[in-house]
Amino acid sequence: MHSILAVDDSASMRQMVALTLKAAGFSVVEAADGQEGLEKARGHPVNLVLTDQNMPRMDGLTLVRSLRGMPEYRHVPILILTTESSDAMKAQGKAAGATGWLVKPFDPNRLVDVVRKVIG
Amino acid sequence: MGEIGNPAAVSGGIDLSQFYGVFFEEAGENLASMEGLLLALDVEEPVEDDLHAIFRAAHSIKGGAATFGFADVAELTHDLETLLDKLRRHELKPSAAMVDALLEAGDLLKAQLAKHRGDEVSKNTATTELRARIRTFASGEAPEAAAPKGRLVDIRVGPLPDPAFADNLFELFRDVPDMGTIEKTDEGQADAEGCRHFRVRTPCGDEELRDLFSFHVDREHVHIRPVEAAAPAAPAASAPAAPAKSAVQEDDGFGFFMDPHEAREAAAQADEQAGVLPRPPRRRCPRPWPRPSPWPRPKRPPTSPRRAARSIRRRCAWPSRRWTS
Repeated sequence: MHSILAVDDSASMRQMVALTLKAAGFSVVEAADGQEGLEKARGHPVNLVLTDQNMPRMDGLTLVRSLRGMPEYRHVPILILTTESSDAMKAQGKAAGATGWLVKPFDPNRLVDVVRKVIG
Repeated sequence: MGEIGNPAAVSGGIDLSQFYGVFFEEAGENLASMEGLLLALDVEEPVEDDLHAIFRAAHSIKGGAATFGFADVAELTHDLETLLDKLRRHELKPSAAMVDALLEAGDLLKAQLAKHRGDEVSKNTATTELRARIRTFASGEAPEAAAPKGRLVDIRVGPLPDPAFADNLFELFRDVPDMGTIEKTDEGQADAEGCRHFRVRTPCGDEELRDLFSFHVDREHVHIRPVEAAAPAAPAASAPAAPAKSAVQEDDGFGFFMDPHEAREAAAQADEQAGVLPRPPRRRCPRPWPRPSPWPRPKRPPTSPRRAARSIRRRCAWPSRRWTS
């Protein structure tokens, strides 16, 4: 079973993402900010990381860069969940090493579709 | 009776209403934190981390509201977020009127959320006027109600035996609301001649200003010079250059910077190679984004009489306060 790390400081969003992905047959690890995401990623290798961008303690872009610095996460796909899809955001996400992005709000079906495109 | 939930409760086979409780709870916490930070905000010297935290609170409420289908909450927080983003990026300077509008928005959001929860709400939840005001602030203009009309003058005060005397002038502008607005143009330091410099927007004439200033400084030490009308700001020279195509695949609402299949193959290959051959180091990317502020949080300045008054006024404010408890 593919396992996914879902990082978001909003508990409701995190729960929604986790429940949707679990219902689609994935195993989900949750983290409430980039720092916790990094710690969970260290102890629990996953097949995909989904991260929010604006979070306290450590934001999504810093998390992406930190993960890319870890040999075991150099090639693991990372998607940024963002409310803005400006060119500046895309440039920053790409430079940080993200695999792609998904704009919030999203339909649970859309989330599963995109995840399957990446690790299905 | 208020509304309960919203029509978009089931989405993609997932009943979103099961997350409403958590969303209402975290939105309430975010609003309380936003209000606390705004009430304590020193508009002259806002604490960097506080501006980021206020932005994140509004941003988080917006994301949840949009996901769970509370359109009115999402729209109002979207406007708030636009303004707060400019404040945290220092593209705009906070003002007391701005803070009041943000606090008002917080009260309205509480009422909107209470309505969605199904609570009785006596407060009018119309947002048109407030949203327009917030958008005006975000555009960099001061709304009419908050911006005293009048001419713009530069005022030199001095020489003064103690440059701090001139700070009393701020009290004058605070106590006489029709007098207009004043800001320091000297960063609080006297010049070589012992003079302080201010920029004032006021409907008052020169003599009237001298009369009022004479409460604190000698009339002959007040030198007033009109500010020449500035040429309209040139169109933003830093308009972003056409961005290079960044994505290999882009659809409505998502995109990939790299082909996920190729990335997967690379990952599989990397797994095979792991421990056998060292891979070339990854090219380091430039870091144009701001890192989370590493410096220690500055100590909060003591509460000014104005902020204390605002805080007291709000604590005594009617029904909306009850929703915080």
